[in-house]
Amino acid sequence: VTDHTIAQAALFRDCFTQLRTEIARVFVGQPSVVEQLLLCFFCQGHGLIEGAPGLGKTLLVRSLSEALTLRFSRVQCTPDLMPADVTGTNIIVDSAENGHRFQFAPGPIFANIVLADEINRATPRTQSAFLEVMQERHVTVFGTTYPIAPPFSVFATQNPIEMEGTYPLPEAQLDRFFFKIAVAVPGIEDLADIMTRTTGDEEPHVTALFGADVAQSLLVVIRQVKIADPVLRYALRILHATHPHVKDAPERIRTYVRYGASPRGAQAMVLAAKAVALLAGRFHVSIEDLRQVVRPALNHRIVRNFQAEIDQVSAEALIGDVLEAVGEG
Amino acid sequence: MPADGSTAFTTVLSRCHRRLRLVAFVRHGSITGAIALAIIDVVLLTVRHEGHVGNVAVAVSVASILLAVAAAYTLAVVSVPSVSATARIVDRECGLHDRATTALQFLTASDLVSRLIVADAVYHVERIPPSRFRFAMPAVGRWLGAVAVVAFILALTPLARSTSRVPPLSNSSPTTSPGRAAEDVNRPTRRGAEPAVAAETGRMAGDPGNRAHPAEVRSDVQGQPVGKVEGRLVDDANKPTRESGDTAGSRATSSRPSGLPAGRSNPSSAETGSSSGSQGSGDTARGSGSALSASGRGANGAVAEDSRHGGVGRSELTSGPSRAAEPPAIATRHTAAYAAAYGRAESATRRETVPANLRSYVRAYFLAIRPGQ
Repeated sequence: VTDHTIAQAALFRDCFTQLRTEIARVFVGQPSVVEQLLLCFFCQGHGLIEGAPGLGKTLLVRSLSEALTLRFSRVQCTPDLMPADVTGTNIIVDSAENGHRFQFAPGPIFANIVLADEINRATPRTQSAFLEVMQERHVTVFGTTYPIAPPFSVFATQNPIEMEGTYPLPEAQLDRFFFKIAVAVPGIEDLADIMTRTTGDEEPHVTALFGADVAQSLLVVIRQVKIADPVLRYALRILHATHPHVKDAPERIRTYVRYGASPRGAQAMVLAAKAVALLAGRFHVSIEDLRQVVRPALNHRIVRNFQAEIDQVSAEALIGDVLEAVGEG
Repeated sequence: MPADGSTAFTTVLSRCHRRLRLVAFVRHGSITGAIALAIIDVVLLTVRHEGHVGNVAVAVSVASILLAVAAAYTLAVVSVPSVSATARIVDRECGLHDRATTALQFLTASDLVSRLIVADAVYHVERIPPSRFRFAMPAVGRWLGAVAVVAFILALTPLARSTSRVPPLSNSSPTTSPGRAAEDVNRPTRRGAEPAVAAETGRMAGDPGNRAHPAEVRSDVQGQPVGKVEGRLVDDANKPTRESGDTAGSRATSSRPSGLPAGRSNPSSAETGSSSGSQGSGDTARGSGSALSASGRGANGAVAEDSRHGGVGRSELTSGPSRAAEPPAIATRHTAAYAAAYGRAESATRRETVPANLRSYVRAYFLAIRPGQ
């Protein structure tokens, strides 16, 4: 049993490293983005990828699915997209034996990795259809529930600049996302590398590394990682300090935050920290692991007020204040 | 959890725990030690003021040191981190990524991962040398300690200087064995003429020629300030001698004419004579002179007169080597023996070996046997 657990942990590290390397062949630079995406997937969370157009958000998710040989589907969200277009619906099937009957036609949500491109362009009704599946991991159509096979992760993208004709995700829906992954503009060196790779006669491709069964087995080992009470309390102190009405909250949190992170934020932090610990070869979470994942886990869960918008105070900066206030533990 | 894993972890963690307790002891000890040193400073200053080290002073010093140690230990025991806090400190100080903290929590768990965690923690913690936790004084302790040490040195320096005035036993002449010293000291007394001690003292004290440079006379005798030492001894011996001081003063006044010629025969040497005599002369002339100054005078005056009677000019006793080459050996030896015995007597009195009510007798004895009698 000991050998099996250690072997699973070692396999997780190997797979993670291989995936990172493989994705990096097509998605140049920004290793932290790739790492956050992989953490999100292995923790069975959903990711909200935010970045300007053309930064490779879609390519990133597609590369992951290709490397894992998982079922991948993409939904381009538009204002006229209906929930049934996502979840699937019953259609009338005509057959010789049974005549006319309803048969469920699964939508694109029935996949292992779903890319909801520009999710903020979909109507709130369609968004809610997505979010129900993300939370419940099953779809109910005409009273019949259809479970979605694991592994299942939805990666939604959104453009933070172009807000015309969009429906910004409400806070309750944002909270469903495990991580919010910010894709920044690449640097000169990375851009040069991108140009070289994409304008040549041969485009780079991702090699399939392993299947869903392996991925599924790796998900189990993460949850076996332990976390001690003082470390857990550290995570909770961070979470607590994001709320403006709390005594220990930093000054800027009191000024600029309307509502702090929910308990889902702590769940995301702890689970992601477990994966980070496993990558570091440990079976226990440390405070450093937590600090490493605080930003992607909380920056979409802190609801800023209007004053913060005016003063252009980002959630990232506020999290920095929280970490400083909480200290090193 | 197998006992060996938890036992091993407890053992390696307790090493760090003990070390942290020691570090806490040193940390608190720096403050309590500085306070103890400050108390000793006060005691030293008191001793310096009173002129002797009493049993009480020693007791207070020792007690303050013991209390400082006890207080530091108590504070260390009270403030020493708990085992869980120790684990956190070990993790933080040694960069163990919360290995010890987690292992401590899952010490009794029996699942596989917990065992792996404990084994991993044992592996890492046992490689940490306890010396990794360094002794550190708090800023308050550092400053307090520095001030206390400086004050201690300052308080000790004058005390050492005043103590050095006492002729050490090793400084004495070959006749410093108690029997021989007493014999040598007594011999001139028996041989000498019969003038009263106080009269002699008063005469010399009253001699205006003796108003300067006491230290030179004292250093001529033994290289040590005898007159001053004697004065302190007699001062300790206390008030009853005031009367004799007064008497000596009055007698000195009356007997001054007989003493004056000798004192004035060589004014230069008289000037280099006992200054304590000159001070004391003022006291005795006013009739309020203490026994301290009177006897101081007496001693120095006696030495000077003895030298004079011995055919040696006082200037030879008090001045440079060219003149000191001439004094007769017997006089020098007696003077040295007297000073040595006197030093021991003072030392005994300072240690309070001599009961207070007997100090006046000691004084009287030494006045009686001083060289020149």
